[in-house]
Amino acid sequence: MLKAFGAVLVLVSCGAAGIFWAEEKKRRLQSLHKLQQFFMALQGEIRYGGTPLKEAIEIAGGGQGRGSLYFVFSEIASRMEKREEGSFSKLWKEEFQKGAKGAALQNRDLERIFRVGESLGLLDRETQLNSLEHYLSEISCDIGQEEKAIGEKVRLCRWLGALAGVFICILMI
Amino acid sequence: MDKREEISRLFSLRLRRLLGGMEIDYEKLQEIRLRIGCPVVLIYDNRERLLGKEGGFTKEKEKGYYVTKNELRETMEYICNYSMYAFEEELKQGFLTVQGGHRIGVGGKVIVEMDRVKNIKYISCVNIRLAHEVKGCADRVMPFLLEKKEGRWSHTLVISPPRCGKTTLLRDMVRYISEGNKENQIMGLTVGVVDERSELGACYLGVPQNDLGMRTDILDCCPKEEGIMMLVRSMSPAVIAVDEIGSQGDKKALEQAANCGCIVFATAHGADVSDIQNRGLDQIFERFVVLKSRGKAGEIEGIYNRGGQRIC
Repeated sequence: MLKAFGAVLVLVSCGAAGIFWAEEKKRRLQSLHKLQQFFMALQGEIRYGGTPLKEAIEIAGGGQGRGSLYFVFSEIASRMEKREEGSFSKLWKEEFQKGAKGAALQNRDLERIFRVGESLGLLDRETQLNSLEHYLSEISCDIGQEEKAIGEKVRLCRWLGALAGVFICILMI
Repeated sequence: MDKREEISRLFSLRLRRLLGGMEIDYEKLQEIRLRIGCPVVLIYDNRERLLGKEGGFTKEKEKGYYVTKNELRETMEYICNYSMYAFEEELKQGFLTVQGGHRIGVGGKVIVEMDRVKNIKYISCVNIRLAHEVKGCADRVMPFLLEKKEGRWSHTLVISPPRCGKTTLLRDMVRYISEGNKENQIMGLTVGVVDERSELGACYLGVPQNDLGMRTDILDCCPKEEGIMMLVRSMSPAVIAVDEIGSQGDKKALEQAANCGCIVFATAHGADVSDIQNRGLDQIFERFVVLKSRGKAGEIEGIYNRGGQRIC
């Protein structure tokens, strides 16, 4: 009886872990979409409005809904307002590092975001726009790949979770 | 946000701490100059002083606080609110205006393309000129500018050499006309300001930082010639105010505005009325306010009518 109860618990927890893992994959895709929207809006604000970065981040980040990325953008804007010590790229990096977990971003995604942050706020508008353009092409490529594979990945994660549970149960029994 | 906070926000953290620790009357502080490898210079109460390493003023260069390259870069980041590109057009002219209307002049390596200044890079010196409004400085002058019979303002030109207070006086005239005056039973009028060098309104992100009155519309950083007619067509002002007229184009645009029924208030560099007459800028104006070239800024030498007779 106790063994059966233990096996059920293992199966349920492994299944839940698989589902969580699958949700993480979906969340990353959602975050990439939000980042794409954000950077497109930011590019527009810089190109056509010449809007200062703080306002541009607030405007572009405002359309993101109340997700963890929204808090990253609003925190960056608020730290810019306070003019805390350090360069913009440092501030940008710190806030994205904090918010990365909530947005399920991978190291590769973060490195690209940091690279964009290094070019923002410079005197030369063209360099920034080129850097944003480059990032947007990279991210749309990532989104394309991810969208193709997401169904498979989600199924794989769920099955792996369930099968891992079964495997542990067999080992235990 | 008070003046102390407005100013200290512009500087790197170390400078912020030093300036924050000092007992300064910000009304007496006129300029702060930063140059890479040189001590910080403050123009305080019309006298030049150096910022000391430990804060406070010093006269000795060796005891002064020296500005590093990184500090100037950090300061520029704060001044531009981390957005140098947003001030590209202003930087081409060598200055930008920040919140509070303070004027930041910059120097460095100038990039020239096709004989025109494209940008400034390697910024190595910064001059922060603090904005000081003198509200009420035009009160004494305004009664002489009113055509009492017709109940309208006269076309007025303020004349003085540089740094004698022309712009400050014109700014207060604009505020007075826009707000009106209850005591003298003068109704407020719509005023259009073409602020080519951002000195009248000291706009930050399009919003005037100086008080120009509740009925004032402003075109910031707009060439006078184009701006005057833009305002006449779009905002139907009763009065148009512009700073530092000089070219024939400015004169023509003002004549056009006057022909459209607008009253013109302007300033021009010059020593006296004859100076203006020699340059042919006097035709539309009915009153000339001449400021003293020596002594305290904003002191009036005389007010003259079109015939050159002194009326005050």
